[in-house]
Amino acid sequence: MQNIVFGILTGSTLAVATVGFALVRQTEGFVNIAHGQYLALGAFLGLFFMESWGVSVFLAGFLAVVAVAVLGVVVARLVFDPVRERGALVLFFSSIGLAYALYGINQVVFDPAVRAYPVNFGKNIDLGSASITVGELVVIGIAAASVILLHVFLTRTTLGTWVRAVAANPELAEVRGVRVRLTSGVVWFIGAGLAALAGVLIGVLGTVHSEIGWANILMILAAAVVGGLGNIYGVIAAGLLLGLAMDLSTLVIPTEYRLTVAFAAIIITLLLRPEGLFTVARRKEEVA
Amino acid sequence: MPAVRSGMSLRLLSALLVVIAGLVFAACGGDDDGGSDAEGDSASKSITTADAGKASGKAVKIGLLTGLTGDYAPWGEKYVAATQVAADEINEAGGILGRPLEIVVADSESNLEGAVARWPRLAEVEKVVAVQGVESDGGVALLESAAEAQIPIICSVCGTPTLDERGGDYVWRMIGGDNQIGVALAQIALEHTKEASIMTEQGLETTEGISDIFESAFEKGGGDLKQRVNFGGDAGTFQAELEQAFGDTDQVFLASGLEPALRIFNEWQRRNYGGTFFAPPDWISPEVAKFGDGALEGKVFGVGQAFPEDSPAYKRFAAAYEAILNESPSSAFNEPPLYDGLIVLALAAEAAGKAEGKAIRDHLAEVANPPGKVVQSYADGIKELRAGNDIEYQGASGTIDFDEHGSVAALYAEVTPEDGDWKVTRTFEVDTSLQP
Repeated sequence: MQNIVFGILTGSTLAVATVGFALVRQTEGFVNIAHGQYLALGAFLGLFFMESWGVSVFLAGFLAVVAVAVLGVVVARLVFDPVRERGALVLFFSSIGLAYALYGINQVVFDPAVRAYPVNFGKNIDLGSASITVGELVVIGIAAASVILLHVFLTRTTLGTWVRAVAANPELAEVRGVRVRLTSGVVWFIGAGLAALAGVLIGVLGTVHSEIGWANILMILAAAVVGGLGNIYGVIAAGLLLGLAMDLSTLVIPTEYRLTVAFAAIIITLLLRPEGLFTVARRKEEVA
Repeated sequence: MPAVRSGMSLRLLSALLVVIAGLVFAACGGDDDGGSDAEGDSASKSITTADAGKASGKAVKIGLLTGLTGDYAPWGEKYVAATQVAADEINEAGGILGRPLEIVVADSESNLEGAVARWPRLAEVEKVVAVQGVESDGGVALLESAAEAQIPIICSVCGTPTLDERGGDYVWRMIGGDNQIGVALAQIALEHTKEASIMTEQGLETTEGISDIFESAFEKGGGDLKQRVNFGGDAGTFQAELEQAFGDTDQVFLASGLEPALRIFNEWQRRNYGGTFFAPPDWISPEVAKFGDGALEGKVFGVGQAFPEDSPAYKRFAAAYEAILNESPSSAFNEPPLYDGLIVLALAAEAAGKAEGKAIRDHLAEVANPPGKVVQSYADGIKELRAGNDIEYQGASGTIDFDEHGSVAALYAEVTPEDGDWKVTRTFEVDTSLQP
């Protein structure tokens, strides 16, 4: 039972990290490896705001999310837009270069030593054979709220409709009057912001350290592949599932192999259902 | 629901994932461009020592290969300072065989790869005659390289059990190794509890070796080992490991490097596990003592080497050390073995009559082990040697009596965090009946 609690915690933060990654992948058309470094930057900035400005963890997290979200838009304009016409591979390798650049900047600007958010998680709430702290409940709540807000944004707002239209067919969307450039900016803002939010949540739950971005991009990729790269809700479910699978796996296999579960999930998914577990594309094709 | 956009094919994506994994693992490896310094880089530098006094001629170079970055970085500056104190004393006394001593400092990055990468520069470019410092993994990795180059290494605080058998050729150490430290830790644990678990960071010579010895000694002493949980130091979370380790007992021996230990403490504190941790020397650091504004006070008990703090050698060392770093050497750390290691190397060169690796190696035990006139400084040592007398050097770390595998039996101290520092609560000898 306790491992289920841990799995939900791991899965909820992974879902937040992956959904922003998938959103960018869908609308911008490439795999952004720098997403992990946006996550790291969010974690570092949140801690910086707390320690240097003395603000609460909630305000520090909010400021970190906004800062990284704005940075995501600026970097997209400066780094990705100029090479957009050269195709997805060039964008992909540009994102790797950007990831290394951000990694280096993080190392220089922030203290790379292991540090923790100065937060108190409060009392343990007894769940029978398991327990959860108040702080952990808040983390799960914030993760759930961010995903729900994203859903509302995508389905109930004009900008959200534009995002879905660009994701489906950018040329057609432009012909139909969708402001593609504005939409792209919104997607980068949300994607980088969600990465930063995940970074703050992961930092609060664990620690902030220099490798946090690289460590998480692998998990994000795993969740994205399992969920189906083109399916935002699929990757949310996959993030939760992977988190649960990794933490429950420790009941039957040594804990040091937990990450192996994520990679096994990638391999099995690519072999058996390469479009992802939750995508409906093939089913639609089969019906047609 | 947003529709699926066709982009890169999944086959292409699969291939890219492999590329990414390679790049990411390369980045996570932490060794960066560690291998590049064969052509010369900023990873090594020389210590500026005090006035060389009567010493003249070509400098005798000795390397200090230690973690200035990475997991052992908190000790790096202290080890450099301890070495500098010894180098200053040696040069003030006229150097080695009348030649000035120069210390070449190289950053092992606290890992095997860094130590191996820095070795060629020390051995082939700088042409050092001996090396000290080096962590367990690097010390083991350099066993054959040191023998081939005939350059003795004093792997100052290496605990690895590998040296119990393979030490004493060209790799020596200033402590007794995990065969003693693991038993000493088990003795401390048995004072507190009869039930304990072990959390072991996988893939490290030092953590795996000491865990085996702790387990054996704890059970020999009547303890009941509840769980042995292995984990990767770079894991994203340690929730499951903590849950397993603290499932049946709240007394845990945590065999890990400093960075994973700090991350584990954070999760341990978050989950309010309580209980006690037993600490190997690897994470007895200021960061742990200060963790959470004293959150670990009364909850961590570790083992360190006990030093004769009332001896003239220790007092002289401590005063000089404080003059460099503006802080006293901590009771729980290992600065004195670094200081003594360099002096023993220099005395061995004096005894040999030549500053060459093999000759130094051949005379290490001769200047430290009895019989001989007891000396407590380099100046006194060379005076006796030049008078034709045998010497037994006893330094800041106490008696140095190398066994046949180049290890030194030590007196140990139980230490615990208090007021942001580590305090010695008692000193004791290893119970040899608990050794494997």
